Amino acid sequence: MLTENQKQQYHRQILLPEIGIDGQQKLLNASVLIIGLGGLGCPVAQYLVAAGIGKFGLADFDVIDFTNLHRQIFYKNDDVGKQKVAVAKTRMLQMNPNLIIETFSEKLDNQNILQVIEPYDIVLDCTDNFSTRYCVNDACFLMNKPLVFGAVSQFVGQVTVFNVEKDGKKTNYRDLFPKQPSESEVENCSELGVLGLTCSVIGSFQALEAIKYIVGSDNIFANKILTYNVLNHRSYCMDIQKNPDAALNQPNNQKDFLQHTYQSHCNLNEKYEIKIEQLINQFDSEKIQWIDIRELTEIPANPLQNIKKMPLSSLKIEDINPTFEQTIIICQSGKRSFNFVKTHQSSSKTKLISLFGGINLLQSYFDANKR
Amino acid sequence: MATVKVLFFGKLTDIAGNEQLTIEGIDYSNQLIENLEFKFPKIKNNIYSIAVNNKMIFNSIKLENGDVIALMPPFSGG
Repeated sequence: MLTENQKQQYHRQILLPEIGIDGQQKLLNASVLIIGLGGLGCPVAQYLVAAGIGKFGLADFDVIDFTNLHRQIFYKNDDVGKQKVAVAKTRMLQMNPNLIIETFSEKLDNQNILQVIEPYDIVLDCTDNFSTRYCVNDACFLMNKPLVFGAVSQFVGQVTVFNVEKDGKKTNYRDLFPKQPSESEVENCSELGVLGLTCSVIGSFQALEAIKYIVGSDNIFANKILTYNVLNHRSYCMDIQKNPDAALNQPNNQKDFLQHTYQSHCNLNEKYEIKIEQLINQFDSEKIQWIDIRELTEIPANPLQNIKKMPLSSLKIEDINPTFEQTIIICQSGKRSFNFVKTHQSSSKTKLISLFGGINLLQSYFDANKR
Repeated sequence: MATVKVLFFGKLTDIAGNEQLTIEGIDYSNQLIENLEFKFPKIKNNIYSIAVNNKMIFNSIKLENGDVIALMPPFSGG
């Protein structure tokens, strides 16, 4: 039963015949899993909290980077370096202290995702890479969970709802694109550029679809995909058909799912990047120097001993000691270091190379190997 | 022979240099795709689904005057 206070708080949406008291009760009882608390996940979470959803799961392994702030609107300057799910949880509880929120800061993959998804009524895919998207899609397909999909590319976004039966038909991402794209078929993972508002528009559409699903609207946007261009406001809807190739590529039982490979295509660019595994036994090498280019306020601390801190904001290439054979540049996620190395490698006397995955992966490596 | 409109999305817009193109003298959808791949060879390096008049197709179909064909690649950003 809604309390008098809740009736007042949600009065304007209870007035809508599509929602009403019943719909509001369903929203309060609903549990929603948001995977990815970035450009899409932030507006999704904000609108779903505001609409009165009662229980949330938040999954994201990433920490807040300075370059996230223009589009990931939960986060502030002071939050740089903190876990996204922790900060998002705090902001959501500020909006509504009665929320139940569970956070998952480990990377979701086919080994752990089924247990994470299981208790939730609906899943929102707000991730930023194909390997997680295919994994989330296949997990939701196996568990028959409704999945609200949103994705952006520059000024254009896509939205749809998978695994919801409509007009006797139920479709998922594999019906649209049966195979996970190979490396040559996808855009370079290192950023095409995106305007925060593109994420906000598409994230708002995702939140809308989640609400429609929860209140049982007939207008749920299943078996169709919307493409929306925020530059010229052109939209395009495409009917998704059952694809005969989908079943050939999709794991159709738990065992196959656990054994399936969800290849990450954010693969190394070997000219500029190196993986931590390639540096084992070289942590103390005299031929290598390690430079952390994060700002001094960023956390966590670098787990390596012999590391110089040279924040990118004041770093000049001539300040880097040229006498080492190799110089490993490290930032939080590997993006800033990659860009720095790409710009300066040709003019540097010491061989500059960026640590793939940055401190995030380095820390996980150390945690896993308890060095 | 039909005159059809082609819509490009995502990266394909950059490859075709346009969001929309009008193509003349086409009978079947596979012929249209061959024509586009010849004009814009980089299209071949991409995956995309194809829709004719807003409906996904998996096999080549006969095209009529005024048909709208969309080439939709997957997006991953978020």
